[in-house]
Amino acid sequence: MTITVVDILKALFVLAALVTIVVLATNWPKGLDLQVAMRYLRSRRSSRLISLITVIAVGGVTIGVMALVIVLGVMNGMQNDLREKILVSDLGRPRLCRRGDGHRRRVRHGQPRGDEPAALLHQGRSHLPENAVGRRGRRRDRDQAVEQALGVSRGRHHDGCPRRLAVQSQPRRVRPQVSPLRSHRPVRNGDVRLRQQLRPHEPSGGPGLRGAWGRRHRDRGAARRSGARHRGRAAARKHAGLPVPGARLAAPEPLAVLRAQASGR
Amino acid sequence: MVVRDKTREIGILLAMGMQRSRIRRVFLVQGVFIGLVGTALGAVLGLIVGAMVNRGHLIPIDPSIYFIDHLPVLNNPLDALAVIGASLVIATLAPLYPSMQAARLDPVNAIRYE
Repeated sequence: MTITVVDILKALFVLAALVTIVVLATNWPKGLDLQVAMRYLRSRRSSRLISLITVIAVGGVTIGVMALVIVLGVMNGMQNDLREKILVSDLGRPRLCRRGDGHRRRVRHGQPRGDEPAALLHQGRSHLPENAVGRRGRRRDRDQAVEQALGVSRGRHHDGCPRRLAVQSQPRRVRPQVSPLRSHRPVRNGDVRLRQQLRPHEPSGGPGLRGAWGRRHRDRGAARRSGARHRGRAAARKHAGLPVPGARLAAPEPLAVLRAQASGR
Repeated sequence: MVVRDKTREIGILLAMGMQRSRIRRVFLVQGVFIGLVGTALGAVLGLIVGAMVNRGHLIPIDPSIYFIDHLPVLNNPLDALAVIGASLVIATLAPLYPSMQAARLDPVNAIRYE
């Protein structure tokens, strides 16, 4: 178990709150104390209601709290806006988001596929930060978020709303197959005919397992059937002529070679 | 600053027989009161200004850089509560030392203080 700076700060804050409660409980003001304290807040002169020191102190606290509230609001707003723009940008079909107060506030139309979310996925690997989405930074959740961003998700998060608040406005349509080894189509368990149609190389339509575990299972099966030496997922992709996630791209041809090819020598 | 400003009054109160714990309590209450008023004003003003900026698009920004044309403000109640709590804690703990200093003053020296 690792202790982070945030944990230490939280512990300090709780300790300070406890000390505050103790201080207030032991020094709770009585009649005369309160009267004298309020008298000392006022000015000596009768022309001014409160002293300059009080005004400066209250003003300082006010400005500090106001700045903190506004800055946190701006950070929340920017984060929310970016999340909406990046993660909810698929399909060009209307979505309804029901917000916390229970009202359907807006109907949004997604952007065409392939512009912003492309930056999130490179060679099948998620490039979201660890804490972008998902519980405790689990890779499965991050992959699910990328699938949402690309509009190929099998989860109910398709419209970008939280799971329990999601409202599907239209039935989901089946997408064409992406690759024989990795597909994100909404295949229901037991729908053998659809799986056979989408996986012509497997007579049974695949084992029908869902999620990352199922994909790994299918990949290893494909590797075993195709006679690959190593039965891993990367070996299967390599054998099928697909790009292997994490593998280095081939180095580009030197400029001199390209020029020689262009000139026909 | 308040303790320095009110040194002579503290001396008079001590000379009249007021307990040191009550002197300490007076300045502690003053600090807590200032913190309460400032926090309440700051939180209310911050929420109002944030809502105005968000609704009225008061702060425009370059959409070619940020992909949005105005500064979005989304106030989270939990954040506001955390800020209020932290402010109250600090406002309570900050006047502890000055109030203890005020309670330790010698009445004779305090009355002579210019």
